[in-house]
Amino acid sequence: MSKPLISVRNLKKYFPVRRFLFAKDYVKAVDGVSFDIYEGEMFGVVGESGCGKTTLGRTILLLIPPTAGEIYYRGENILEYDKEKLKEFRRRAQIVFQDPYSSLDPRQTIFDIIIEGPRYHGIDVGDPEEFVVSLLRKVGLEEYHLYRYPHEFSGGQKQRIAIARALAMNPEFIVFDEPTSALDVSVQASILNMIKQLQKEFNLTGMFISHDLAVVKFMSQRIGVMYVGRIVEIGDSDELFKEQLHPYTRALFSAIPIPNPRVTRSKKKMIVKGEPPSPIHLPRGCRFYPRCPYAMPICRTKEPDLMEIDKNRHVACWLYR
Amino acid sequence: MSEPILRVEDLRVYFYTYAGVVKAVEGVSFEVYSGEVFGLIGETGCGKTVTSRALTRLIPDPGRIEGGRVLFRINSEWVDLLKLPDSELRKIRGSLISYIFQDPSSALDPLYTAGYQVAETIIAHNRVSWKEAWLKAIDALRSVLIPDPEARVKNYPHELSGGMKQRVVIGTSIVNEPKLLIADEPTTNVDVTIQAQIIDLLHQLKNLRRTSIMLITHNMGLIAEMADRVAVMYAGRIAEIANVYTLFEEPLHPYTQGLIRCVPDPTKEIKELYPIPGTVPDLINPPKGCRFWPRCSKAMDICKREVPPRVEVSKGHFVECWLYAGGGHE
Repeated sequence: MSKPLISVRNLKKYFPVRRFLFAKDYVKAVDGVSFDIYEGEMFGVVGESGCGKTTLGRTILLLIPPTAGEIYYRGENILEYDKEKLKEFRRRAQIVFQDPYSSLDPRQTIFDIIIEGPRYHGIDVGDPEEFVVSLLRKVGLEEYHLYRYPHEFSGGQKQRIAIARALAMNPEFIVFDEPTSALDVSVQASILNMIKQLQKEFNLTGMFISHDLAVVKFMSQRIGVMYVGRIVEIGDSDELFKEQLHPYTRALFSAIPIPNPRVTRSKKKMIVKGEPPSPIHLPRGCRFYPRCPYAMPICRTKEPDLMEIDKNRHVACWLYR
Repeated sequence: MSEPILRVEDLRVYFYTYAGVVKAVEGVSFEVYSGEVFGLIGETGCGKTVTSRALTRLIPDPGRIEGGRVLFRINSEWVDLLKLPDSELRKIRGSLISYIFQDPSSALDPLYTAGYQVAETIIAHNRVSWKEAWLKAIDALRSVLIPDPEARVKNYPHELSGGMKQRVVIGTSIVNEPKLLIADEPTTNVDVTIQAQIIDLLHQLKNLRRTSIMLITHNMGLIAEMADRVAVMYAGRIAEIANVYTLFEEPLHPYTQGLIRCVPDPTKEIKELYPIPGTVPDLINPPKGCRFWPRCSKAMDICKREVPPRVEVSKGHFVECWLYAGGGHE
């Protein structure tokens, strides 16, 4: 396997919330996450809403500063970068946001939206119009779209523009934060195919965040499963779909309805009771134990760390110690 | 199979906007049988929610129901809900026919407690005291598996999580033991593990009380999981109606085929997805003839001129497509 491009170690991001006067509580959105993303791969992150997957994606790109932990890019800690190097990192690492309606400036033309980044970074793109048109063609749009405004496009087309904007910086790494969750399935399919193809063409490394397991499986080679601020299991996407080790992963995978009536109705389901805990008031010990059917005494007192238990399989669960 | 409880014939709903007349629902017909889960699937803007709301005339201005019949069976008598006086219809809404709306946060009034809102529904349709209604409300919340319902009835909506709110909404909708429950995207705003709990709950409802459920969704997985029969809607019309197994295994309408192929199946090894080319048409000026022809790979001349008739290909399997109506041999 190739070298890691991005390595995250014990990353934490807490957001303060005021309780009363000066007393503060913290939303522990990301609470001690470690993993590697290897060169050329698409690393999937799945989890339910509020599990911290979006915060994780944004923190890795330093769009928001982490509370604690380290982020390595090609072995260098980006938190120790000076201004110059940080600017270069920001060029190489791009993001495609979830909501295409709010991530494009409504007062800029498509040309301005796409050329803004390269201009700011002083990238030599030759003839700017030709450059933008060539990018638009790559994402399935046309030359006549160049001077239109975002409101003239459908959701799917807007997401294509957002992807072209990311590609304009000639990046190495792109975070895709639920790029198709606002789109209809028939449109989603074409965007996913396109991302896959562009990843090959531009030799991109990526992180694909989604709550949709089927989409993550289609897009990524390895998957990390998040639960309330922590990654509970990481595995090869095919292996993970064959067998889930962490009880939460198992519950999550058994809960997804499969678009095939015979398969989905005969599937054994594991319905966990209750709801995820609040990321402000976390239970002591493992954060899944209040819902876990296999909870043991140790789960109530000590939080399990992510451990490699097999080749390419990491689990944070006391059952496997 | 059991008897139909609802029969919708040639329903038409238009919205009169400044931009023009939006023909949101254009000649929709289907039946719902007692005790079944009838799925209505389609993408954003296809008219599935409008159809479901038109059944009890819940269409706000500038929308108007332009035609059709909605026959509902009450004690073996058929009543046309579109002709019923408002006062009569109000007796049916929330009792014999009830709704679970998509967004539980907006379906609940933030100024009243969860218990009040359930009890209010009981009071509106039954001669009971508030005290009795309150106790029944607690029972209803218990039946939708809300833990500690005695305490929860006193909570305001903002004190409840999304999944809990959706349970309160479901509780409200089943408290008067409806014959027909219309569930409009009941799990779209909740997480997968909570979705599994709600699916389980709806299954129990159907099995225990023999309630007919009309399930409206864009999620193919949910349809595969829950529905007995399915209608596929496209641009204000029904493209195909079939038993759920038939629909997934032998889809006939090119749109249904496309829909099934473009959804990733996590149990299969997929190299590439097959999107449906083009976009959903503008319903102010929909294409002439079949509304799907501009995106259809099998479009023929007749498709561009005339609306395809409904053909029953095999028993209970209806399709509105010229491929099966002898369109090829003109």
